[in-house]
Amino acid sequence: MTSPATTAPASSSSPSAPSALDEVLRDLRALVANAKALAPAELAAHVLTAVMFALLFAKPFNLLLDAWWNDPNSGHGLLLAPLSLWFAYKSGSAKNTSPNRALGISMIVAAVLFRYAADLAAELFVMRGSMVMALGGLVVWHAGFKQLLHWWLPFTLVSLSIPIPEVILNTVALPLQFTASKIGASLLEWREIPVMMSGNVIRIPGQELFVAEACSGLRSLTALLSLGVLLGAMFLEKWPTRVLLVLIAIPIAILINGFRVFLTGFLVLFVSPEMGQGFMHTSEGMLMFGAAFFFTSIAAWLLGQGERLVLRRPTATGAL
Amino acid sequence: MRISVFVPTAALGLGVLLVSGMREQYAVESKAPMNNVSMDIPGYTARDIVVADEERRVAGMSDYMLRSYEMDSSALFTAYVGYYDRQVQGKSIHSPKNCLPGAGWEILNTAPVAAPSGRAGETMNRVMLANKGSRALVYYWYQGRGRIESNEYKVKWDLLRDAASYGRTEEALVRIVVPLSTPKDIAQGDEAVVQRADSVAMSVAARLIPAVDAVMPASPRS
Repeated sequence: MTSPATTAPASSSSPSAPSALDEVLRDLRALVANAKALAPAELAAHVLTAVMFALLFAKPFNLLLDAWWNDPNSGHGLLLAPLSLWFAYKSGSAKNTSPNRALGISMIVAAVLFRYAADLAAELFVMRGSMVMALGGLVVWHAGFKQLLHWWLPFTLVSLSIPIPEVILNTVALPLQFTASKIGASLLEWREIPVMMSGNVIRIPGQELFVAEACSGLRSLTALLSLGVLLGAMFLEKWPTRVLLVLIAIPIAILINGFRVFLTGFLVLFVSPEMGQGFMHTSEGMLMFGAAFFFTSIAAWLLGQGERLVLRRPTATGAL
Repeated sequence: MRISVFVPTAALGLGVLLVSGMREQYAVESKAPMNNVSMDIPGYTARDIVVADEERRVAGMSDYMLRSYEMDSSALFTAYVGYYDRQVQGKSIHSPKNCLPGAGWEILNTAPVAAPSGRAGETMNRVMLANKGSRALVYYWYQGRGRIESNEYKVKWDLLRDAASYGRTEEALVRIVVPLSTPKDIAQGDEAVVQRADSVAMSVAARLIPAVDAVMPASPRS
């Protein structure tokens, strides 16, 4: 496995410094050259592995793409997947790694079994998760467990882009959703709109909101957790502050979700009942993510300043 | 040439064979529409309730029966049978444990109780719910492919096994809801109200189980 990031020129301030695209193209050429240097059997093994992986996981991959594209609560996956690839590329290979064949193949075999069983039991989360597990297994097989740890950020982000299973949703996200709904209902009452609330179902004059969501919850919680992980990795250096940022992202998610409830109710009542449907199903996920990104970024910046004060260092950025 | 370089290819390739050789899950029609579930109880008036399209889309059932049983114009209990002709990704039974809290019901306690099916080991879920002062007793179970089951993990395991063995995943979610706030309830003591609700739910379950059995497809294991 090549290490594109480590072979890149160190300086980027020189006028003749290559652009990021030039660097990527150069590394791709190096990758092709390395592949050509492989023994034919080894090259065939890599190609066949890629083909088998694509065939085995085509269905969960398509289902995941479909969820990212069509479900506003899972839309953040469209952002996280390319970001993960970029982070994996930028962080390159870990030093002093060696393949761990036994653990790697165990992970791959387990992923295959999970893939099969999940398809039979109509269990989406396990089916999608098996894809990430197999990917992790291939990394461990070829480069060792240390490399998997080195790529903790891309693997965490990809895992968080998989929509939460209902079992976890029921115990973790649903109570948070109720809090968000209460905030939304209070804001509507503050604007003197009569509101009746039962769990996730909010009734305003002539309208019933979120009936279809009564079985779901704050699925966008993963989006906010991903954001916390991402910003923590980018701007913070210490694990406790990174964990703190992820914890701060949760109340931010609740508050913004509460505001979303209020805004939807307000628009449905004063603009058009159809406004709620269209707004809910197309753009709200992304809008909410944008607002959460802004507030979580501020929290990350403040925590970064705190770290700088405590560590007495001039900067805390670029801590990938 | 080191043969070991092909080990991941072989493992993934076996997976491809396993998945491509997997039985197709086919839809199994019920013997009769769910509305044919016959449960006439002397003294009660039955009234069918229509589930809104949006809720039906979210629940994903292929057919259903939702009926309110009333006496002197007050609803004494409701019975629901949601039939799924096959369960695939995005179209499988939602556990009421997930959906009821979403609709505003808080689960006070839940426990399995023996099902009055005449077959040993079959259980139903007994759930006590509260929602802003009102309370309700719910009995629900999963019925199909020759079984009545309450444990959701067991249901998932059976689904997996029957899908692999027979390519069949049809199943019904059956639910009885007894509200605990009728004028008659209020006149009685709390313990007596719960006992009466349990007795109503149990006797309805005893009638509903064979009625659902009568419209369900024959068990693939028989």
